[in-house]
Amino acid sequence: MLEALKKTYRCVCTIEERFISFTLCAITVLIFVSAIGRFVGRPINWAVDISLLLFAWGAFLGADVGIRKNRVINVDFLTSRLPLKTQKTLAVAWSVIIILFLAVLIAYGIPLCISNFKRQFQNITLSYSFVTASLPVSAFLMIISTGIRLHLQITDFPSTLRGGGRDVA
Amino acid sequence: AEVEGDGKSYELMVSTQLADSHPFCQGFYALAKRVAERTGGKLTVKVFPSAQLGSDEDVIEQAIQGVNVAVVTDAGRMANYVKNIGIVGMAYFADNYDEVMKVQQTNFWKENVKKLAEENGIRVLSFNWFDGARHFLTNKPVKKPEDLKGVRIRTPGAPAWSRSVAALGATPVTMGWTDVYNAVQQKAIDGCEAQHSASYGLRVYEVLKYINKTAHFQLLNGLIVGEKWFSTLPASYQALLLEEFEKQGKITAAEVIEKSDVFEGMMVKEGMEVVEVDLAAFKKASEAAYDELGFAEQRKAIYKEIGKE
Amino acid sequence: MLLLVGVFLVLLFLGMPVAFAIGLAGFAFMLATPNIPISISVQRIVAQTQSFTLLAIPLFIFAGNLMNATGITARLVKLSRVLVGHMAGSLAQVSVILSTLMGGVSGSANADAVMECRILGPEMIKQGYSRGYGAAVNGLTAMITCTIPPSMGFIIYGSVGEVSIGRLFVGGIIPGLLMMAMMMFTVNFTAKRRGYVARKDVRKPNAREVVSALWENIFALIFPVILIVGIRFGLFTPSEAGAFAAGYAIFVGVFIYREMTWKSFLEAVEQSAVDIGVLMLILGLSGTFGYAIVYGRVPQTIAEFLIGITSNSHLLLFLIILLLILAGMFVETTVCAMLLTPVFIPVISRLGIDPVHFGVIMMTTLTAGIMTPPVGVALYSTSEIMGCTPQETAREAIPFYLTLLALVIVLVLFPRIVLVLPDLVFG
Ligand code: NA
Ligand code: NA
Repeated sequence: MLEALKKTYRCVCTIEERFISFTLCAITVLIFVSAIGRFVGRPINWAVDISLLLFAWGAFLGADVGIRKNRVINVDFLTSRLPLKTQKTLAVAWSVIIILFLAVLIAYGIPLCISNFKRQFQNITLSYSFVTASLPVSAFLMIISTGIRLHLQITDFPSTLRGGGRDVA
Repeated sequence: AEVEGDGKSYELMVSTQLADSHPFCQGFYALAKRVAERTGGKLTVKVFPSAQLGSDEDVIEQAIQGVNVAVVTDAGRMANYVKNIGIVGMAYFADNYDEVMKVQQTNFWKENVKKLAEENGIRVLSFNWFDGARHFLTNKPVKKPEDLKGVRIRTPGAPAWSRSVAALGATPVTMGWTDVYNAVQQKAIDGCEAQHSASYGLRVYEVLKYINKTAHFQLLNGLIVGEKWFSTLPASYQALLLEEFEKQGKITAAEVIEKSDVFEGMMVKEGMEVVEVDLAAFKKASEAAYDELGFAEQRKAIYKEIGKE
Repeated sequence: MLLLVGVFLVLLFLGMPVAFAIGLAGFAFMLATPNIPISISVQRIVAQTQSFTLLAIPLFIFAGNLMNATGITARLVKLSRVLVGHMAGSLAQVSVILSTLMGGVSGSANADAVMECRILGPEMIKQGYSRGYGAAVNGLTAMITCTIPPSMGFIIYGSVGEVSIGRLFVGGIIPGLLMMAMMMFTVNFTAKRRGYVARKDVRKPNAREVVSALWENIFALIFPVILIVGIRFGLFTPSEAGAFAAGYAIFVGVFIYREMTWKSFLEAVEQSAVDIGVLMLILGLSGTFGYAIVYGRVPQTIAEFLIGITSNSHLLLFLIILLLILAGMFVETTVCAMLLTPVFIPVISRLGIDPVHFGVIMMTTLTAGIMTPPVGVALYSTSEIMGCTPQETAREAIPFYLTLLALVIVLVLFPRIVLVLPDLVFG
C-alpha cells in the first residue's frame, strides 16, 4: 500500500518536472515567435496570454520542486547558535505553519476560481480561473513536499540543515 | 454632519490604472473632499492611481470578493459579466457624450446594470466618466479605412476593441499602454489609437506625426464597487455615493471635453498634424465588427429606443 | 505597518524560509484588516506571475543556464585568463574580467556568482586563496554582470517605473566598465596584501594572443551589440530580449561551437525550471506583502517623509541610498525593486533627477544586497559552494562593499557618466 503510494508520488513528480520544462520552452518559443510576427506585421496577440498562463503554472510547480529539492533559503545565523533541540522544535513549527498557510491558500483559492469564473483573459476567450487554479493545485503538491520534509525533520533533523542538504523526496 | 450614517466609520478606496495627474483622479479628490465634509469624516474616500492595487481585472475581482474598493472600468470589461453591455464600447456606437448619456436612460441599459448587481455582485456607482473620443495616431496620414491596411496599431486586448480596430482596417497589436512610446520609437508598432489626454500624457507627439480624427470610440468609463461591501453601508451613505459619483462624473466629463481641444492644440504645437477623415467610410467599415460579435440586432433596438437614425 | 514588518523580521530571524516569512507577514496584515477577504491573498500571489515584463526573469535565467551549456562560458573563462592571468591575484582578476564579459550575455548577477564559484572556486582553493575571499570576490564582482546590458534589474525598474529600458541598458555600460576598473584595483590591493603574488609561469600576453583570444569569443562579445541594435530598431522589446538571448545561445551552441547536446540542453532546462521556481516562490508570496504596503499607504508616507527632511537633491539621494542598502540587506532584490521603484521615482522626479541616472544607482545598490547578510541569496550560495560560512565571506567582502559604495558616490556626483551614452544612442 505505502509502496504503491510512493510509486504514484514519484510518477507525479516526474510528470510535474517534465511539465515545468515544457512550459519554459513553450514560453521562450512563443515570445520569440510573437516578436518576429509583430515585426513582419503579423502580430500573435494570444501569445502573451498563453505565455502568462503557462508561466503561472510553471512558476508555482517549479516552486514545489524547489521545496522538494531543499532549495528554499532561510536565515540561520541566529538559529544555528541555538541548541539543536530548540532548532528542531522551531523548524518543525515552521513546517507546520507553512502547511497550514498552504492549506488556507487552497481553501480560499478554489472558491475564488469558481466564484470568478467569468473573468476573462485580455485577448482570448478563456477564463482567468485557469490561471488562478495554478496556486491551489501547486499548494497541494507543496503540502506533500513540506510534509515529507517535516517527517524528515522529526526523524533525522541534521540532514535537513543547510549543508546537510539532500532532496526530501 | 449633513448626511447621518450609523455612527460607524467607512472607507472606500478608488483604484485606477490612470496616473495621478489624470482629470479622473483630480475628480476623485474633489469628490473625496465633499464626501468627507458631508459625512463629518465618517466616510472617507482614498485614491490609488497607477494600478497600485493591481490591474483593473484584479481589482474588479477584489471588489466582487468584498474589498472596500471602487474601480474605474470600461464597458468591455463589464461585458465579461453581462455580455450585452459590451456594445457600448464598440466603434461608432455613439457619436458623442450626450448620445452616450441618452443610452443610459434606456431600458436596455437599466436592465443590464441590474443584472450586474443581482447576478454578479457588481454595483455601478455611475457610468458617466468620459475620457474623450479616441483617434488613430500614426506616422502616415489616414483618411479612409484602406489607409490603415497593414498598419500595426496598439489597442487594448478586449474583443470589442481589437475586433473594431481590425474592422476599421488596421492590424491590432496588444501591449501595455506605457510600452507604446518605446514600441513606436523602436518601430515595433506603427501607431496607436487613444484619447487626447492619454496621448499627450505619454508624449506620443515626439514619435508620431498625424492625429487622424476618426473619433471611433467614445471612451466611457464607469465606477463600480462590490455589492458585498456596498450593502454594509447605511442607506444614507449608499445614496450619497451614488449621487456624488454621478455628479462628479458629469463635472469631470465637461472638463475632459474642454481639455481635449487644449491637448490637441498642444500636440499640434509640438508638430503633429490633424487629418480630417472620411467618417462615413469608417462608420460603414465598423459594421463588420458588430456582425462578428453578434451586436447588430442589439444596436438597431437601442438606436430605435433613443430615436437615432 | 508595524505588524507587517514585525512579523516579517521575527519569522525571518527565527529561521522561517524567506519566501514564507514575506508571505505570512502580508497574510497577517490581511487577516488583521477586516475589509480584505482572505481570497485576495490568493489573487495577489497569482498576480505576481501575470506581468508580461516580468516574463523577462525566467527567460534570462534560462538564457544564462543555456550559455553555460553552449561553451560560451568556457571560452570566456579562457579569454579572461589570457587577458589577466599574469597579474597578482590572477584568479580573482579573472573573476572580475569574466563577470564583465558575462555581463554582455547574462542578465543575472546571482547566476554569474554561482557559476564563477563553481568554475573558478576549486582552483582558487588549490592555489591557496582563503575560501571566504574566493566567495567574496566571485560574488561581488558579479555585480558587474547586471550593470552591463542585458540586465534583469533594469528591466524590472524600467517596467515598474515606466522608464525606457533601452536607455537604462545603454546607461549601464560606462558604470559597468568603471565598476570593473575599480574592482580590479581592489583585487590588486587585497591580493597583494594577502600575498597572492603573480604567477611566474604565466607571462603577459602579446597583441596577437589577445586578438586571437578575442576573435575566438566574437559571438559572445557581439551579443550585447546585437541586443541593443535589436531593441533600438524594433525587432523586439526589452522584455522580449530574454527569449532572443536564449535563442541566440542555442544557435551558437548548436551551429557555431557545436558543443550543445540534447542532454546538456535538457539539463539547462531542468536547472532553470527549479531556479525560476525558487525565485518565483519569493516573488509570488511577496504579492501579499506588496498589497499590504499599498493598502497601508506606506509609499506616500515614506515619500512625504523624505521630501520633508530636505530639498537638497544630493543629500536626498544619499538618504535614499541608505534606505536602499537597508532594504537590500533584508529583502530579496527583485522584490525590493518592485516595491520601492514606485516609492522613489516620484520623489526623485520632483527634484529633477533623471530616472535613468537614478535607476542605475538604485539597481547597483539593491543588487549588492544579494551579497550582504542577513538575507543574501548569493552570499549563501557562494559560501556554500566555496565551503565557508557566510560570516567569513561577508568579512572578506568588506573592501569590495566599500568599492561599490565608492562607485555609487561617484555616480551620484557625476550623472553624465550614466547619461552620456543613452543621449548619444537615443537622442
Ligand atoms: Na566575478
Ligand atoms: Na548583463
